[in-house]
Amino acid sequence: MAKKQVLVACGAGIATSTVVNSAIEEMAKEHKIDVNLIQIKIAEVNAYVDTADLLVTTAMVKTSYPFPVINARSFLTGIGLAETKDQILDELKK
Amino acid sequence: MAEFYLDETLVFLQMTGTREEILREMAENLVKENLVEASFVSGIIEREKEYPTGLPTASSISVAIPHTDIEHVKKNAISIALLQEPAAFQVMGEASMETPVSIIFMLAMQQSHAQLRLLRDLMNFFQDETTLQVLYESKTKEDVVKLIDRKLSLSASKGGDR
Repeated sequence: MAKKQVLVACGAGIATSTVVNSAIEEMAKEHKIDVNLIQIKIAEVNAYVDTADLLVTTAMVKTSYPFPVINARSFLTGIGLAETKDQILDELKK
Repeated sequence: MAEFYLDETLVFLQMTGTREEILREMAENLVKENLVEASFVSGIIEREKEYPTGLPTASSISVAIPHTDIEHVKKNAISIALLQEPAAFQVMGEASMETPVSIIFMLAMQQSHAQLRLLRDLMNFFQDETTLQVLYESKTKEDVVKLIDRKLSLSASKGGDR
């Protein structure tokens, strides 16, 4: 299985993406999945359009991308977190 | 320990106003306390419009975590406001959804990627209904600082070297 490139983005690229990034890192380790996590500002996503496999973000996405986009607010609030994690895992295992 | 500064001058009780009025007052106070640049004020307000930070929680209390780019910040700090009446904030990542926010945690963050501990503690805090309620019902600024200090393990001092 090729190593997936996963973008983790928020508005400023410093706060909420940090929390989400570390949560996905742990999750991947737990499931023994090798993943290339890149933490960025949502405005920087375009630079990765050709290489990314997945975008996980707390910001709103107005553009459509050639890869799936998963909303990560549940990592902050805990509401619906299990579902979000399953969604991400499904994508990582593809 | 997360190196964030918080003292009673950064706490607001029974705050009133619209979302923007409240954000402005909190941000201007951080400027006055010399923790952020003057540009932080517009940075916060514009950022909130573009990337809203309202977060509904499992309890009836919604929170918001306004923050902006690191170049506006002189020192890591956190400012907290308890609102007398909830103010409408847009929900993070959902342009069409609003949530009535009762507690605001304004974050002044100076380094990227380095504040994981604080952020994680903060997110755990938001998932703890009882503590959120206790915080919201705080009667004094001292109570707020004490509670947050205990929950978030803050450690920074205001001036000079750490």
